[in-house]
Amino acid sequence: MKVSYNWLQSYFNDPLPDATRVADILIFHAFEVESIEQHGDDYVLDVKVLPNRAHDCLSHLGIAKEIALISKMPLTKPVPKSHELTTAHKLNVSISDTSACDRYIARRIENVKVGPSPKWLVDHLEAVGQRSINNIVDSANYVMLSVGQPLHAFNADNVSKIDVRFAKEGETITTLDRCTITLDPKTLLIADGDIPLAIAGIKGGTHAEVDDSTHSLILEAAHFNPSLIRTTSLRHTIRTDASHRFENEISPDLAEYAMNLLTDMIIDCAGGTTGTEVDINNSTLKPAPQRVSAHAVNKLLGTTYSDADVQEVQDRIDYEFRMDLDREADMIEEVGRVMGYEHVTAVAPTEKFPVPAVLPEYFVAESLRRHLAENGFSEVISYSFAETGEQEISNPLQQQRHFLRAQLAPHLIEIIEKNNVNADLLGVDSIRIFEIGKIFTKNGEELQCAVGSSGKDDINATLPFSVTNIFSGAANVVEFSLSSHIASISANTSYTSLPDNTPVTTTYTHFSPYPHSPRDIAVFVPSETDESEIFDIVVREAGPLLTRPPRRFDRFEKKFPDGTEKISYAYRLVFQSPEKTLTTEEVNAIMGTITDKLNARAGWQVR
Amino acid sequence: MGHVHPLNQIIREAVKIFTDLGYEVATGPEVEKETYNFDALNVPHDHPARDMQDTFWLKSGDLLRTQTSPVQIRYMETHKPPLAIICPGKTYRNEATDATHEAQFTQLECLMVGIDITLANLKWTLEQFFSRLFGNTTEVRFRPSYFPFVEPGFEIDVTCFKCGGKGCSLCKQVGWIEIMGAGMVHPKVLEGVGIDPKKWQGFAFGCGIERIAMLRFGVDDIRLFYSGDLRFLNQF
Repeated sequence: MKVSYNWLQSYFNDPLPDATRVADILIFHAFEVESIEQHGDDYVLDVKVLPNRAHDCLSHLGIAKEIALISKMPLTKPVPKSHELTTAHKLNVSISDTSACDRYIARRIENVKVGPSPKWLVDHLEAVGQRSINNIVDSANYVMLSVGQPLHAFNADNVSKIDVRFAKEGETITTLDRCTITLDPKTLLIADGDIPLAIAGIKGGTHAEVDDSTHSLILEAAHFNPSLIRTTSLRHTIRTDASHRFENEISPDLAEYAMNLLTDMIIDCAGGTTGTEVDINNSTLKPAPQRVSAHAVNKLLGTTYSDADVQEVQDRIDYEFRMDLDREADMIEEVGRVMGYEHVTAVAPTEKFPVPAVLPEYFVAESLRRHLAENGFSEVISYSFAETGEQEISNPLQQQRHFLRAQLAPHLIEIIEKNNVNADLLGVDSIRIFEIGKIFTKNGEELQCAVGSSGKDDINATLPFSVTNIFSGAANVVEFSLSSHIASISANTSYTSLPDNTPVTTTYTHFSPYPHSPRDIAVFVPSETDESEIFDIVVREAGPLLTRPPRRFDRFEKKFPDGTEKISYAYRLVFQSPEKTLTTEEVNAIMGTITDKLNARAGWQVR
Repeated sequence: MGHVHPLNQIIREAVKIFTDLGYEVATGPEVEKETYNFDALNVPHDHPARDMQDTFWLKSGDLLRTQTSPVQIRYMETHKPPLAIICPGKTYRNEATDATHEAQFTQLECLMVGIDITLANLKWTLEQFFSRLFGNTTEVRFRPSYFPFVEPGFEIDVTCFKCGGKGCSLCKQVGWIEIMGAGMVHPKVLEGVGIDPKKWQGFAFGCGIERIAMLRFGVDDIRLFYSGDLRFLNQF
């Protein structure tokens, strides 16, 4: 939620610490703050309020209460003026199902003058990303963003009565953003008889929209069933500031407080007088907060707080509108975070645990991957999503991969092909890879292994045990289930029998996205020549564009007619630039230099 | 010589560290029942906490687990405390992918339940784990957060292993790196598997193996792990 620093300041007589410090108070005791941005003379904090506190802290006052609790700064909560209610106008409210709406307050305001909002209100709303509409709508938004209670204002001239009822099949409403929504009987409405006025707790309709000609209002402050609002807004895919708050179960007591604040705001900004009010309240009392002892706090957190510390924090908490403190663990968390988790010092557990058993699945997979890696195969992990399979995904990320794989081999073959073009770059004569992972069939999931090569290796001979190959395609791939091997692991196996591996300390280096150019060079040298001499010249003359050490792929000895004996060494060189595609001319020039340097040696001859 | 996948190299190290500390390695299915992935972890059906994780649903009505935490439930259903487990495994979230987000990723879950397992014990355990993993004395810091199956819940920061907390490019000059979520097991989770929360308590955490591997190896794009590209994989 976007939180305005100036708005927060309005709840404190003393100046707040600067915005960064306010953010730190929240970060280390309450919520993550994702950003702080300057907005005119204001700062806007993006505070990540999670579902456990969305009922009270999707509001500036909620955040201000947190700051007051943590920093011990005194807070000035807005106190509504008292308003005389009249019964001048009839106001009928009916609720068809009190489990869907357990509190509904409707209040008339007469003789308002709808118009633009005062500048301070426009500034506050704009700082937190809200558009100013008029003084009535802005007031309702302002109070919602202040205290967290969604509110609504209807044009009273267009409403004869208020019925909180479920929609009829096929009934439609045009919402304030001019969308026509077809309703269903699970959608709760605010209606005037047959006329839908609003989707309850989610969005208002156009029928009783407040506009410049509106003189009288019916204000709504209600409490709706959180899961009803949530399922309805998900079903209609309408998520609003209102639905976001209602689905998190705000306090039913908040409705009354917010109604009074809204009344003050409107009379301040648009004039008018209070009229008739109806408050249908079937809400139940929330459980009293569960206070805890220092013993309970210390037992869970491993701290050494005194009773006085723990009681002092609990005395300081403002419990009004809090709905999240009914368990001992809730209050321990509350005390812990207010005190500060930096007070927790690391202590080794002393409890005795049963001797752990080896997990056969992990043991088998780990032994196998080490064996295969030692035998020249690299491990890949591919996606479980596949184009075909037996288990279908209802909401796939990519439409064409809407199954879970039933085999590992297809992806393995794709990966071999993808890597094949890089064999020179990788310095290998063929691509050898494997994957160990789950496959998914109608019967469930199973751990399998697939091993493949682009060469003619005898894969079965490489495996540490004999397997039943379930892959039947043309590629050189063996795929097999690990279940029988897993079942054969005896209970007294120990992880210590796995080969010990030292942790890898590689730092990854980017590989070039540009194509590479392989070139071969072969040279006859006198038989007594040390191969490293050739190697050194080639590497030196090839320069920085040579991506890896030359790979020797051929060596043979030849006796020439003149009687001299020479050896031919042949190397594959791979050139690549990190910055561009190399031209044939550029690579030819390098090869030319290498050739010249080799030929310059007595008795050496590039073939 | 071939290469073991970098994610499995991190898992291997983590398993070594935790089995040395007496933990058991546990496992569970990747296709999971809704109840294990959510309800038993204190995420009721119509609760907004479900929005915290975008889920892949299967036509069968099951789902791809969004976290390794259901293994906690499965293990506690069949084992009595005291217990200490870790569970490495694949997890899935229906999120658009970019350099730091993948729809398929790997988690390491940890759960310890005993008579007097405390937050102080969690702090010690994490300091051990990260000090060994990053080969440096690593400090751990808790920031309040919310995960439905723990209370209190935390985001965990560790001192930057590259600069030791002085501030560098890796930690964006703050000296700390956000690494994972953790907390004390929620009493409702224990109750749900028939463990009396008045008698038993413990901690749990779940960390992203990719996140650790990216930090350890200096990898800047999570998608490389699943690319199958040997130009990447053969560096490890």
